[in-house]
Amino acid sequence: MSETNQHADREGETILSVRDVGKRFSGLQALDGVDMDVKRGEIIGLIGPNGAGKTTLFNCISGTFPPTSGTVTLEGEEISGLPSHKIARRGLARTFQITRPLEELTVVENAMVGAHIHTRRRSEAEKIAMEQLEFVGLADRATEEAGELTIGAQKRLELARSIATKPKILLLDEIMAGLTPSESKQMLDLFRQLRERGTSLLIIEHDMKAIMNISDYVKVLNQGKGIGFGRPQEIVSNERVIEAYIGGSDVDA
Amino acid sequence: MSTIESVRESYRDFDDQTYAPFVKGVALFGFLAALPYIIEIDVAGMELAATLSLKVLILTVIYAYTAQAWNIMSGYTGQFSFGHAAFFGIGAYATQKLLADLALNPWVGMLVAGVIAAGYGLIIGFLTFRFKLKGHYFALATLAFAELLRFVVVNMSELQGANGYFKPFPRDYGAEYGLLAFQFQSDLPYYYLILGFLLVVTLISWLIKNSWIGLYFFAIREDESAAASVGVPAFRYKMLGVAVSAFFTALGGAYWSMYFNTIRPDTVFALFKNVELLLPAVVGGPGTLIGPIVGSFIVTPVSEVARTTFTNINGLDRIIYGAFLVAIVIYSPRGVVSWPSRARALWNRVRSTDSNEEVNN
Repeated sequence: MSETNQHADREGETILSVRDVGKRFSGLQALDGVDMDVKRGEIIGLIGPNGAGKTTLFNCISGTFPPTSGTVTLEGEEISGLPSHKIARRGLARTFQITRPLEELTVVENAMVGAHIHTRRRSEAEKIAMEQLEFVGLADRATEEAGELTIGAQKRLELARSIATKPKILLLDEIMAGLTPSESKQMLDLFRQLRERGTSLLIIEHDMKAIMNISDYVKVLNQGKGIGFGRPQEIVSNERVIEAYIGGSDVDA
Repeated sequence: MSTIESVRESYRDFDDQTYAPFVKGVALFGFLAALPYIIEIDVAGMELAATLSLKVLILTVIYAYTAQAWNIMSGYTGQFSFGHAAFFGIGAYATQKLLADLALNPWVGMLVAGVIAAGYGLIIGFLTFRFKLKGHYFALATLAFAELLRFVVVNMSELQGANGYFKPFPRDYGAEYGLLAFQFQSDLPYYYLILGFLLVVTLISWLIKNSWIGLYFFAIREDESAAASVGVPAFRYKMLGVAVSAFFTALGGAYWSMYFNTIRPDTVFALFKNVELLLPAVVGGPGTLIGPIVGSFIVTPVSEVARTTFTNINGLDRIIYGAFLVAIVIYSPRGVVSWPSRARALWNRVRSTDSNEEVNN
């Protein structure tokens, strides 16, 4: 695909590679020949109008369901078709569009579920979990029930739970939706710190300003197809992208 | 700062200690061990034993035990089984069959029965979990697997059909009354035996709860796909839950078959047995360690005493079970053990509105 080759000089080791991925739901082609690479320590923004297939792509990558065609590889090994818990164990974690706290568990237990991927010892998992809570700023609420947190705090908890698996790449599905401006700013700051640790991020977000600000590269989907890939400034001037957003009736982003 | 608060404060300090669970366990089981004597204490010419016999206590602990076993699967992993009579019945039947045909010691027979039940549980689990049955559909499927066994046993002459088994005398399998024979000539040792069973399954539950297994179980209960997304192999752990739960439930059935003189398909595999086995856990608090025990001490004595007192009202015990179930599900799905914290929350709310009013005045 020309849009990927355009930046073939991108440096760094490829962590995640999506090749010609398609997903068909009885009659509906939700994804069609999507290609994408994510390199170590990169932040890639994934944008597109509603129904473009962004979350479907996340689901295909993270193993919620397998793609109907194409392959996904993580550090050179094929992961497409594996169940999500195995993919998580290989170093790919995700969050969900609608937060899914484990409500009746405490905040620290939520994070421990992620941490147990590395150890069966409870004390060790608790230590890893507390570090992540510290990182997202929830350490002082460790013993509260997760269901009682505000949406903003639940989003940070979800981030803590997924990074407790110490992923090489993290897929974030609209984790900033519903946050206050100051919470969003805080979240962007966490993204940058994660990148500095060498974690790659693939982010779906509707806040264009935020995504253009944080992303190294932006991938644009429309009607299940990749229609653009490039630096944020290239994307905002890309005619096909503008057409997809302005030309369509759905201008929500 | 009231005395209540200072008591609560010191309780919290105690609760933080590593020895706290041990102390609580000793206190609870010490109390249960003393119960047969407590009910005989004469208070103003009345003793509890007049209505609450040792037989009722044994039944109560049996159901506390089975509810604890049910809880490991349904309370912890959230896969609500309505068919634990299958495992209970397998436990009773396998033990008696091996005893009758091979004169196999019931202690050994019981373990064999546990393994068979775990195997049946794994078959149920494989079929239901593979096809992602959840909630009501899962509960109904488990019920179907239990009813299936009842019909099979009723129609199998190899398992004595509808007549069931009579418990043999110890001498029939070369033993004397006592622990080794799993038979006693009075009720008191039977009580301590089932109390020992309860202690073991409670200990296992506690170990599960305090390990990564328990956390994985709870994560699956709360949100299976969110759990899977951070590396929890949900299918495997649900299978583990059903196997452990089925194994221990079968041991309860084995005990039942060695305590009562007969077992029949319409007793151990009874449709209503499914309710009796799980209700204490639901009433007490599903997913908690103490809930099944507390629940059984609420549900079982009341229904047993009602059944034996009002003999002319047929099925009163079942009406009581039904009323408990409906009331708990509607008003307190977290069970009786959640009441202290709920009362505390209510109390705090009342107090804070009071103090607000004072400020406003």
